[in-house]
Amino acid sequence: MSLLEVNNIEAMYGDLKALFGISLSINPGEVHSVIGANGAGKSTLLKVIAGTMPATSGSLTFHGNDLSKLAPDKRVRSGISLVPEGRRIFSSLTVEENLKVGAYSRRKGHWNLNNIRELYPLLAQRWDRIGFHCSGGELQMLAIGRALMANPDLLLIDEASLGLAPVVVAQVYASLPQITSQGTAVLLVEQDMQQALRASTHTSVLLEGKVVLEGTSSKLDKEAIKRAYFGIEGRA
Amino acid sequence: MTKLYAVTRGSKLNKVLPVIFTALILALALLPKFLAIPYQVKFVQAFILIILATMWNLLAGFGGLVSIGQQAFIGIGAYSLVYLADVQGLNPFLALALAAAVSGIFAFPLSFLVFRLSGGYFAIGTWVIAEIIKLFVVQVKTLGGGSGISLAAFSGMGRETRIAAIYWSALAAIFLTLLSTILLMRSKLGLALTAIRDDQTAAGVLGVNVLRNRRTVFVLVSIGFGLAGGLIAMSNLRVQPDDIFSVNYSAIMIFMVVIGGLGTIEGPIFGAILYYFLQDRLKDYGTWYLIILGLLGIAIVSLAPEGLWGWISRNKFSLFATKYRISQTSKEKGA
Amino acid sequence: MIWTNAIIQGLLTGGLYALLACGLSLIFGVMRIVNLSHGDFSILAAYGVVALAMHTNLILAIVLVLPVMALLGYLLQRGVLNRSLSKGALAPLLITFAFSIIIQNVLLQVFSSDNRSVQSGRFASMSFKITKNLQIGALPLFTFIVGVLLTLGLHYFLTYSRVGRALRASSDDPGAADLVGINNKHIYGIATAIGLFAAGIGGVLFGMRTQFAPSFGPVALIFAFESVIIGGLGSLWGTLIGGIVLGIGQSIGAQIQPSYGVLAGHLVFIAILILRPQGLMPKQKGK
Repeated sequence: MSLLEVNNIEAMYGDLKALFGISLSINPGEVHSVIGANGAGKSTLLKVIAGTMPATSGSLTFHGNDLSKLAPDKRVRSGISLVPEGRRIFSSLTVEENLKVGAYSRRKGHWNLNNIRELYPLLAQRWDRIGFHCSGGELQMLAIGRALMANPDLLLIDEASLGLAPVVVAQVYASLPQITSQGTAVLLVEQDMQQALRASTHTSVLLEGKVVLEGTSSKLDKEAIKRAYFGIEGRA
Repeated sequence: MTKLYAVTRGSKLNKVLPVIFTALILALALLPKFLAIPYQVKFVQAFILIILATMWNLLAGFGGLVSIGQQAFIGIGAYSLVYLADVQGLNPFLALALAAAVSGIFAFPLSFLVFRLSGGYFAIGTWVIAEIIKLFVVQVKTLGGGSGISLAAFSGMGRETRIAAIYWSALAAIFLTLLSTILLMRSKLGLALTAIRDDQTAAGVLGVNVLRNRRTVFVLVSIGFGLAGGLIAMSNLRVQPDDIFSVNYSAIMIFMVVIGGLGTIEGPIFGAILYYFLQDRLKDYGTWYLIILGLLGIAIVSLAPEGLWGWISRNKFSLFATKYRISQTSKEKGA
Repeated sequence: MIWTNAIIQGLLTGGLYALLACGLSLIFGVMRIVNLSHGDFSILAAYGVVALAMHTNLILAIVLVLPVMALLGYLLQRGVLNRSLSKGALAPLLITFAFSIIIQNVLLQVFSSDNRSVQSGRFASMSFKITKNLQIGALPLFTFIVGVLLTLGLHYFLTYSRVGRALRASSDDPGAADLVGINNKHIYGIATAIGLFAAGIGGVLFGMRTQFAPSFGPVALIFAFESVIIGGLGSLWGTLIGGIVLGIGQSIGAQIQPSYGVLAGHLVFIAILILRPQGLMPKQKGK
């Protein structure tokens, strides 16, 4: 049985439908990337899984349990952590305090302050810096670190490389294998198609709220992806 | 065939209403001829409540400024009336108009003080200002000090004439207040205020001077509060500092507006009338009536936050044509 | 020498104001709610102690009343106020104002408008002679120490504890707080519980040194509010300093003329509002 089963999820923003029946499944240790143009529904999907947005129909199963009734803070306790778009670091807390509060749910696991310092040495240099004064790259690493402190079984990363310098993006992606080696699965929303394909084991391409292509990242045809991404010549 | 849409303000209902209201005003004006004195007094009380509710709603619902210190201006208006009519010997009705103006004059510099605070702290700040003004007024011997002062200006007039005159003043006051409010909301200021209320930052970015518009509202409503204060002084023939500057006025105003519905013109009127009947029924119960009022207020804020009027009308219709709507016209874009 | 005395008395009174104010400050800091009934809850605690002290001793009465205040805060926040947070800025103000009216009138109903005080026996009149002209009352000194300790305690709590960190995180970004597993509704309840607990302590100590009536709630609120503004929003230490400055201002005013005390305090408040509206020790952006 897979770690996360997303089955025919639909979601709406007010009167506007954003997701039209998305399905996918993730197993422990996998990196699953979700790519697509702006407005395709990628962030919406992550928010529904994290619980910050409700699904209007469909089912979400995690560790075999139905997620739909759980509030977002309870989902963290079950083992899902979201690194949100915009990172949303606590601006009045220091780097250290942000990480400490990430462990609020007191889930047991591998990650603690020390090995997060090893994972992201840049953070170690900014340990007492207030969130408000951190740069974009520091914020991204801090956001991931904070999510890891909850020792999730599933890590959701929304727009991993948005607004970041390539050097920083590389560091972030370089850390993924260390995360998955603990058995954590990663569901990654990414604008950068190449980066997403390189880093993931599986990929789903979203277009206008529907999955139009999916499969093992290494085996997907680049042309097919491009067509699916832009919606040219019908659906694959 | 595409339907054409037009942006309108008001519906068929709104066209009939001015006629109804004019008739209503005329009818009310003739009332003293037929109505016994106690009822004229009741009407005056109701008119004062409507003015207070309308002004507080303008400040909070349209201006976005929640104040629990507006009793400062009620007090300033009341004391100004007594001072101008008695000490200066002016005609009491002229004094009423001037008292309202004095209130506005005080509001302008005070606004610079209170606008340094925002949100809930602004609310308490206005209250502190009211307390301070009271403390200063109480020091002034000519104004009667701590025990208050009586209004002597009417001593030459017979009781019937006096009550009728106060009644007509109150009627004129409420007419002017409502008319000004409607015109204000239909004006550029009204549009600016609605924008600020909906999204302050967006309004600012679009060129609306948030601070100046708010200051204008603050000063304008203080004139209304001063007017009400003057009327209260005239009705009671006496002004007492602990009463006229009491925060209970704020409690009552909040209650009327919340019950009626914030942000519409009809809401406060509805709320004021409802409150008038409630306190008429309940005032014998002393402290219980205030407790009930408080609980009722909490219930309405939690369950029907748009107030009873808002709940009833639910954006479908409004008596005063101040909101823009999109309606389908009968014309069609032909091909 | 009279002036030194006045300043010291004012300083000690400042501790009381800080006690009354820190709960107000905390609740505002975490939830942006200004609790207009804060003073009334203080007085409620004082009445609670007065009522219980008739059946048992003072210490026990206090020990029973304070946790009840905390529980009341938690229940009111979760039951009524949490709901109002999503209804705009007006709703919490209206609701707390309604609380204020309800509490005052319930107290009026139960206890009447007679002046009461919390009897602490000899403690209230005990004093230490420092010099020939200077005496410090035991109660004011005790109140001041409690005020400082509570401020210190809250500071440590917010800075170093898991729940304190959660409170600060929730105040920064409730949506992100969800994402690390913080239940905001519960955290807000905790904040109000602590706030009313502090208000209770302030109310009881206030009741020991002054006679009070149901209508004193607003007076306590105004002093608490002025302390917060003078000290600067967002800073617990600022609130303590603000309380002290207010206390000293009132004390000096009262030294000039007994009836000028409260007014002098108001004038200090106005002066700060005009000259330094951010307060004496405002919170720096981001910290």
